[in-house]
Amino acid sequence: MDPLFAPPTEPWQRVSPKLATMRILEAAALAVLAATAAIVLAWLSPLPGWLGSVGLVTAVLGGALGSVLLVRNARSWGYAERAEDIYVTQGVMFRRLAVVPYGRMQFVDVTAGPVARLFGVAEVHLHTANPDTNLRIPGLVHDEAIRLRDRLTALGESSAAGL
Amino acid sequence: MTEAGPVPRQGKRLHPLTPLLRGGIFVAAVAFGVTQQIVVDHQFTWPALTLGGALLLGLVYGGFSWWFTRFYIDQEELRIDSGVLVRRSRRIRIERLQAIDVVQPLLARIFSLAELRLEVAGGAKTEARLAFLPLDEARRLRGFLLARSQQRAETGGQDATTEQPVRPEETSIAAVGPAMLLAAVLSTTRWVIALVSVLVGLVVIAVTGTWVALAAAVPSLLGVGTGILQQFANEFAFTIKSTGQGLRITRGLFDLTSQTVPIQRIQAVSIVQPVLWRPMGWVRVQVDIAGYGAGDSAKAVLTTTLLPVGRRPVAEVVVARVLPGVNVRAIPLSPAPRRARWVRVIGWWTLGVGVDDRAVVTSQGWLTHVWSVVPHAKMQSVRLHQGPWQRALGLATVSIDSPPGPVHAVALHRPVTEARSMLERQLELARSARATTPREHR
Repeated sequence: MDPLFAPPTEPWQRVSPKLATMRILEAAALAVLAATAAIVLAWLSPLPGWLGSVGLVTAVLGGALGSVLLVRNARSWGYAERAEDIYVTQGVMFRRLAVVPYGRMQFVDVTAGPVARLFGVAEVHLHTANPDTNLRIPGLVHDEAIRLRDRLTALGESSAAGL
Repeated sequence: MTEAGPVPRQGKRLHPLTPLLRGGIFVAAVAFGVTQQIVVDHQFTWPALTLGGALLLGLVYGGFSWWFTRFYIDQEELRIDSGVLVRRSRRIRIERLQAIDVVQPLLARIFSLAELRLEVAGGAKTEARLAFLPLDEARRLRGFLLARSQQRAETGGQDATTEQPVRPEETSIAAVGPAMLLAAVLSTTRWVIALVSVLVGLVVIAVTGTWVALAAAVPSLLGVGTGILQQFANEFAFTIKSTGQGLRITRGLFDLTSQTVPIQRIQAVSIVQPVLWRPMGWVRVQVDIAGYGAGDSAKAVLTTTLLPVGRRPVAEVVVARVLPGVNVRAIPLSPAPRRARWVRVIGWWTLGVGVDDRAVVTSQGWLTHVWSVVPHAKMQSVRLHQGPWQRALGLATVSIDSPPGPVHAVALHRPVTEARSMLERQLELARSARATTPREHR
């Protein structure tokens, strides 16, 4: 593992593998939509038929490539709760590591869209006074998301540093 | 709390001229439209009636709204009740105040009236405004609110014995003369780029003989011109003083503004130098203040400016005032490695970062050189970032986040091993700084 993005002490806590499945499903839906559009366009337009096939093939290939990237990205999420701060890492091509001291947290959001709810996962979003911090952890199993939120809120309260 | 504040218990109304002043701009707009109609269409009756009607309506509404607006100030909070049909009551806890401005638009100056603007953390725009009050009263209220907010912050919200706040002498820190300001405004990178593009347009005209390019050049020249004039008017007669309640900035040619910022509310500082200022050694100083305009709009830049232009030593005095114990010059910057030129072709030699036990300083930019200073005690979070190009070169970028504002402290393109140890050291420094700094200074 790249020492630059190595976990602080113990290994990264990974997010649920359902996140990858969810992302693929979303991508697949998009690819199907694009493919349908290509077929319909090819059928309606006076353009030669092979152009439609090219569009179809592009959509399928794009979907396949996209899924690979999405899976890699979804698997790259990791976090580590420590005594005084939380580490979150993400990314394969563009890698990030963000660390927020608990005392700097302003509030914690838990969100779950319709697809995420179907999979029973949620996203925890930490806010500091700086919107650039943008620390979020998607694909947490429902109970884990709740546990994390409660722990973060409690820790944030006990070590609040004000502004 | 039974103790009386500076305002009677039953509240107080704004100055009775408020509706007239507030409506002034609206009336002027209507009058302009109407005059145009009279001149162009040679009609008189209808436009005059429209104008009269609008005036009357505006005044009646303004009068009602004035009548129904009251404000209350006690030892804990400021409350503003307003609204004719929908009542609105807004409460602001005094200890939460970040900064207070007294603003005098040109029209209000004639009647020696002023607007009091209160800034609270979190809001993108001004949290509460009291417009208009007599100037003396606005100043008196500002003094009271600042003294009170300081007391409450220092005692951690507990009530101390309320004694009359001592008013220390105001000492001047820096002032900017009109000639220097004009020269500085005319030579910022933004304007120079605009002027050069206009010149290019003129050359095109001269060479091709077509006047089409003029159509593009004139509006952009006008835009540049008004921008320069606005900045000049806003930052005219800029002075910065130190008072017992924080820094007081006064500025303005037509509209006068007097900002007061408690020093402990300043979160981070940046020193900015456009390329053309380099021979003169001039710099600009900007700060992050929670509650003041985030973003890059002209207004946000204006309200977060601590010194529009000054020589480097003057700027360092100002910075030393707002970040006690931090000596920017004494922090040595370690440059980015030479290989950073592959990811940052222009200006890679300006990249650098330096850390001491109080603050971190980052440096970047060639067209506009920016030094950003974030005290460890104010750091919000720290982030590491690496793209594929950087990975190939063994580089990574470290961001030190301060609350939103013009300061973005980013250590670009550091060697990989240094980046990770810097992140961990930064966390350690911030932790110990938070532990040893009094609460209200964090």
